[in-house]
Amino acid sequence: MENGPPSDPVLRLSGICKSFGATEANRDIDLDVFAGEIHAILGENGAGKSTLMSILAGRYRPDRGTIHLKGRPVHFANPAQALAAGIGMVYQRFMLVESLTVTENILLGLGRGRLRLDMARAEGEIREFAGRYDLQIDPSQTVSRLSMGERQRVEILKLLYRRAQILIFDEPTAVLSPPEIETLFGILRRLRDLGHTILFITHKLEEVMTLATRISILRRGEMVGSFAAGQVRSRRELARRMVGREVLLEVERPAVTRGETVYAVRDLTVQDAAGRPLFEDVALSVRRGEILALTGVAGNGQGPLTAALAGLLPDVSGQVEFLGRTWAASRWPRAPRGGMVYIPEDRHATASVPELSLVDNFLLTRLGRYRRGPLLALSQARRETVRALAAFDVRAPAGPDTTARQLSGGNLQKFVLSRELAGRPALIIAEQPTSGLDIGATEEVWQTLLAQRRHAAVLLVSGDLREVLSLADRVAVMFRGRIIETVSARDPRQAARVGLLMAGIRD
Amino acid sequence: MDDLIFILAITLKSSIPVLLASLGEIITERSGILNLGVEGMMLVGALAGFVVGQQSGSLLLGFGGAMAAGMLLALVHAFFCIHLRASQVISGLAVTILATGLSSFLGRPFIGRVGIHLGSLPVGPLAEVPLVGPVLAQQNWLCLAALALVPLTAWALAGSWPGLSIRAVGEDPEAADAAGVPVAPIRYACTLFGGLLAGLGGAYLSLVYTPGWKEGMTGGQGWIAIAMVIFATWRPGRALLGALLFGGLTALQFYFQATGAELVPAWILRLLPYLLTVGILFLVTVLKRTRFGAAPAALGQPFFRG
Repeated sequence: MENGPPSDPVLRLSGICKSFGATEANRDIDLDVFAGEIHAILGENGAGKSTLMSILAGRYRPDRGTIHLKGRPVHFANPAQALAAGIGMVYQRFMLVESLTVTENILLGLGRGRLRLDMARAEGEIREFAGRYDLQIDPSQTVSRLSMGERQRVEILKLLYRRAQILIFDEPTAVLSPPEIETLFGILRRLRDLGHTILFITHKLEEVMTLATRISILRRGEMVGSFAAGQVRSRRELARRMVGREVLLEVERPAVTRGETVYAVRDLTVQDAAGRPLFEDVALSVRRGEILALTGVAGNGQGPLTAALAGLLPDVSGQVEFLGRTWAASRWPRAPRGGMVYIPEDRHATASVPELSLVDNFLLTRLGRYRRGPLLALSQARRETVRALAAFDVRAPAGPDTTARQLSGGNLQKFVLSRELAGRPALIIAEQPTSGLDIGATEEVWQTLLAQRRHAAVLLVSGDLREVLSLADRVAVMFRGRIIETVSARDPRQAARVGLLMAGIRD
Repeated sequence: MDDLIFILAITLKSSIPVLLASLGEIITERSGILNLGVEGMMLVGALAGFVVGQQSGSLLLGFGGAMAAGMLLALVHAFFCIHLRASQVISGLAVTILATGLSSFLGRPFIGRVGIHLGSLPVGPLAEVPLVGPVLAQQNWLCLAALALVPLTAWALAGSWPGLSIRAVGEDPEAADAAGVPVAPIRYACTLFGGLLAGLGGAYLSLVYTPGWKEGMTGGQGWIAIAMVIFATWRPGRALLGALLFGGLTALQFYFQATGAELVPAWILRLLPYLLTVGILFLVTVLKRTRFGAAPAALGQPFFRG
């Protein structure tokens, strides 16, 4: 299959353009897809990959351009029409109704004009169908009880049941643990062997190198190039083509001497409204000069735990120790937390107010510093905002008067960092600090966090294994609400276990 | 024995309007549309049923007119909620306010007029069956139809293709849309069906229960029906239980009035069905924390594609 494409593409996109308001998501894109290939659509966030694939799957209509399927021009008004033509897409947010069963989800939308639905018989059929593709799934199970990997298999099954020949995946590994990713790759290869054509969107170079037989790269809405996987020598070369300049894939970590323990928690437990624990018996500690990473597959309790660590969750039991003082965890949300800063995952809604200027946003977490009786020292705040923007190289079109909404994701994150780090904190809790950022911005954020070790303890919450292993000294892995193990990231043998630990496998 | 028959017969008789309206509301809400216009649709149904019945002399036309009037009002609600994606709460309240005023205005010439009404069931030899016979003899065809509708709607939701689509649309319209389910048409159909049953429930009042037209004659039963949907946790079987509870309290009130037993002041008795509703809502809200039963996840949310 690596010996060059056959002559006729099964799918040919030519001159595809698509704009959303003023932003051009796709500009004059040509793409050929050949039968039986696993085709990676590679690009950074915002490169237009999802838009292009959504056009192919009938979710969006292109402003210009044509799609030819097996030589014939096609126009899809909605996803159903694309599916009828044999093209189906598994979105990043799974399109499954959680309260329905696997069978109900697969059958959904297929019963036009029919009345009686014999569920027992349908379940038998689905079981038999799933067996044919060797996809293990219980057809009578409710989707809300399934793991992310199982849900993805339901999505695949749903498309196969509708006779999709071309399957598109939008970042299929984003919500999976490393062993689940292996399983998925096996399924995709098997589908390819059965004659299906696979397209998958990704920005992870490793996935492209291991899985793809053909690679197309998008950059800022344009097609950079399309080539067979065999033509690529290294990850580095791939990264350069994707970003458009030389990039470093390794970060340098100058050694920093560790200091005293800045922050520690013991026995942290909290339950949701129905009495089920969100996380249980969590203990961890961070010292000055080190980065402790808290990781796990999304949905294993890191979200609520991070909120509790940052003092945003009420009714937590356990103890919190910060800078030598101890609090009951229930009192931690009201404790004075000077010296601690929190960089939330959602920089658009939690870390900033989109409609306010950068000066006002700069004041958000620093009000006390600029208070002069009942007044605010606005000119001083403005001066310091300008200084912070310069120090962190934030590209703001109107300087301090730019609204937060006008900043790109990377610049907004750098702005948030500039604000939070301006006061030389003793503890930094950074939650998914590079999610959605391009490689350039990611590198800058990483360097910033590493530099902070000189005077601070850093707690990095991240589901990105590469980020965790690049930055952290120690890694605490969460699984089903517990920290199942904390390992040293500097010991290669220990670090290699993190992936398995994320799936709950201890040895 | 006679007392028991009296109470049971009135219980069943008084529960039908609430039962019909709440069955309709269950279907509507399962598709994700909250319809607070039920009270208004019942009022309009009551008036239309009475007027059409009186003018044409045909019960069938009367009930048909009532269902059409309820559906017409439901169409207004559906258009605002589905097409214009307006707030479902505001649209529903507006529909009830509109219908209350409209029925009061249009119904003025008909107050106190004598119309037609639906008679009791011919039970024949069944009348000799103890308890069941005499209770049944005081009911009518519409009552039986309403009871038959309970297993029918339950089956439609759980065991039919349209039911699967309705549940999916109410839980996650985006996912349903991606699977090729026509979200808007299904929501329209379910809202219209809810209006149809609310209208029929109203006509039961003006053509069966207390024949004639009286301003505001539904007396809040539409609101009680909405509360019963929550009590029923969106399941038809439990809606029957809720409606019978309401009917039972109404029957007790009649019973005490008829026997003249001043055990409890009459005004407290008249308050009971409404107190029951408030109590039920309180209980359900408290019990909800223990996952007693959840509302359709997309209830009240408009659907946008893309």
